[in-house]
Amino acid sequence: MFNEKAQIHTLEGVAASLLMLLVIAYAIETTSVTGSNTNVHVENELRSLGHDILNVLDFAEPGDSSNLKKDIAGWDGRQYIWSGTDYIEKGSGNITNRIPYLSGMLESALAKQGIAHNVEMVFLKTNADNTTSPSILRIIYNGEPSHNAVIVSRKLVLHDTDNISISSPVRDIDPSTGMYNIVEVRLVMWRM
Amino acid sequence: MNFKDMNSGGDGAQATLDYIIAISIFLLTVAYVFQFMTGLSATIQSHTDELMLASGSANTVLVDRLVAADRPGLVDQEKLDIFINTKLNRSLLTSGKPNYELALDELGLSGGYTIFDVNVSVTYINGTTIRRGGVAVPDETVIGQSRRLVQLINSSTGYSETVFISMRVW
Repeated sequence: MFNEKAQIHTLEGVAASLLMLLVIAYAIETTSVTGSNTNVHVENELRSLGHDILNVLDFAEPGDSSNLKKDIAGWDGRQYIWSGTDYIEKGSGNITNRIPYLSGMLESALAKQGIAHNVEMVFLKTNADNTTSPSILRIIYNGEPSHNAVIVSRKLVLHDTDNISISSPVRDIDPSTGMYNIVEVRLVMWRM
Repeated sequence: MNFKDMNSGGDGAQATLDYIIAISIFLLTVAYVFQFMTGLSATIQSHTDELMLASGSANTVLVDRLVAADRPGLVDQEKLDIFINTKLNRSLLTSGKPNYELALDELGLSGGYTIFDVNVSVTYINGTTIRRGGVAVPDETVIGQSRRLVQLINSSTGYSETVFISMRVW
């Protein structure tokens, strides 16, 4: 029953056990298994916050335009990036801000809370054959969103009387009427 | 194996070494698995999900129904002041029942199974707190929190300002 091979068998056993433990530990560490709904909560919280931001920005006193509409109408097509302290123009790095209400709200509610965000605008464009198609432009761009990003949007109807900037990339889709264009403002948010 | 074998200078002791190593590895494995499984269920045991859901739904009830202004998306400042100063006041009674308990009923935070405590605060976007009500938040407990960004309007003057309404539930 007892012989000198026991030592070899013991070492083999120890080595095999350690190898198995290392493999199991590695497999568990590399497989992200979580038992909570944290991601769902984060997404719901961001969605709720995004809706609230657009609601507040689109609030208008009687007889006045909303701050969101004022910013969209006055936007001249320049793209902005959050630098960590300010929204700067892409390319030039200038702080000339043509979207004061939008940037002020996003700075307080998102940027300073560590929430990355992009703002896009979708509007109707008249083609050469007189048909219309949607066109997308970025107003604020802070990189590609993560896979669990949340998008909220708000549709605005611009009229000829809305003080639209002459540099605006949005064009009048029907000059024969008072309606200028329909713009969808999209707010994309994700946790970094 | 007997006592005599173990003291005869043979290979008998080797079996004891095998046993010690094997049982050590086995116990280490059991301890590791136990620790891992406990970690998996930690969030469920701490009721984090339940508290997050409770605070979110209660805040929705508060903002969209209890203190909502006539126009959608707005919060009435007067209604909010009454809610915080009167309804969340534990020392005031209505029909013999503390206002605070009635407020928990309205927010959907009390039931036969669980009763939560609540703390509500109103802050400007720069972080300055302008109103606070409910029970003081305890130091060491798991808390569910939700925030709503709203336009607070004074119905009499028409003046409005943007604020966060934060609700903490535990």
